[in-house]
Amino acid sequence: MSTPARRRLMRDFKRLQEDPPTGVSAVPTNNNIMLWNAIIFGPSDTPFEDGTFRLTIEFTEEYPNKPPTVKFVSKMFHPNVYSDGSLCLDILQNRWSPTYDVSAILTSIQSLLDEPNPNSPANSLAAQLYLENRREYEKKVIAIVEQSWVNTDGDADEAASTGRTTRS
Amino acid sequence: MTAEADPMSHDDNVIAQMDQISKDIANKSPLVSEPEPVENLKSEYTQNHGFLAKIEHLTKSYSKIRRVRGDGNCFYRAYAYTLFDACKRDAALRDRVFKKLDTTLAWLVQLGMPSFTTEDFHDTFVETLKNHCDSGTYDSLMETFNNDGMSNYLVVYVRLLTSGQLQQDSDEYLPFVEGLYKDMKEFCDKEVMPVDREADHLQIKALTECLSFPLKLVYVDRSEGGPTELVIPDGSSPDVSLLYRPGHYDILYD
Repeated sequence: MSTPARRRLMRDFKRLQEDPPTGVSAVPTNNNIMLWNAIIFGPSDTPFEDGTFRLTIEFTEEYPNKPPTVKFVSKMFHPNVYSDGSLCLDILQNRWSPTYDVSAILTSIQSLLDEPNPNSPANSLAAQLYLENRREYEKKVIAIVEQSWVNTDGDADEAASTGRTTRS
Repeated sequence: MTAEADPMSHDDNVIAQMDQISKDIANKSPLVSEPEPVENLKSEYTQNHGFLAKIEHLTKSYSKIRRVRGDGNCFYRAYAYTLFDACKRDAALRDRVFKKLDTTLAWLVQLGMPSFTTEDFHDTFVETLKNHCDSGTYDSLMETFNNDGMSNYLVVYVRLLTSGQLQQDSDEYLPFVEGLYKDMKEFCDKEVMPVDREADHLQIKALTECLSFPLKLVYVDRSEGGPTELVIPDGSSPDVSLLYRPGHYDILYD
């Protein structure tokens, strides 16, 4: 059945195909338009360069009035990303507006990678290193960039589903 | 302990709590209610003489109040509802509003709103208003405004129009928020576009100017004397009145 949330998600998907933003991509999972797999490529000229980071985006029927839940599936080392992969990003929380679509969400997350907000840390070690020892911070980031390639070898959908509860 | 050990941040707790409060409110009141006598308000303020005196005054000029859910969208929802209702009855207003709406999509995109989603909200708003004016009834209007998905789509479009007007007339509005926000765009991103963000005087003035659909605000609070009435924009002669009680708007009828 088509609901406003599903109708809007079809539009979001159509736009991603017709007007793909640079450095990000996303597709709904095969049997569920409410659950998407996404990839963000690390922005060039940053320590995240060459990383291929996997995420899941989970919508509810209240979308776009409520934001989706976005999580990194790939290991991430970033001041505003929690150890379970969830993000601390204002537009996904108290500054959400229904005018953001999937493309805008992913583009914002991509910008967040190199513009962290160390003042509201989700990962206090990352925040501390970012502020006090940038060399060490970048070393840790490069390590997770390399890990992101290893995960890429598997099937895209499968890789992006790891960390989620699998249904039998 | 590090923040990593505790994936639920303080913010998440606050958000979860606010979600619960919104759900409680949603279960208690429809988005837009049927009108009821203004007298009914008295029962909410039996201990508050300042309020009671004003409501007594209010009953002399207004007979009915239509409550709008207090979810942060009340001003925008009340305004959109009264606009739909008025357009159905007033052909001159309808022509003026549609003429304006025809220009708003290109205008908003030019001001930097995201074209793809703005178009969706624009088309939904225009189509729904048109359907209401062509063949809508009171019941279908109530159904539209009480359908979460649809009602919120309409709210988003009036928020976009508010943002557009504030940014277009930034010279006029920025002095009121200067020092707090670096420009009008930042103000709109933080105080107009986020879901459930309440409207203040600036937003109200901008929206009434954008659609040239003025309104009268009737303020009721605990201060001495009768209710204060304010016409927005200045010097207009509105057909629509909204009741303002601190933090909340409802619709009033003569």
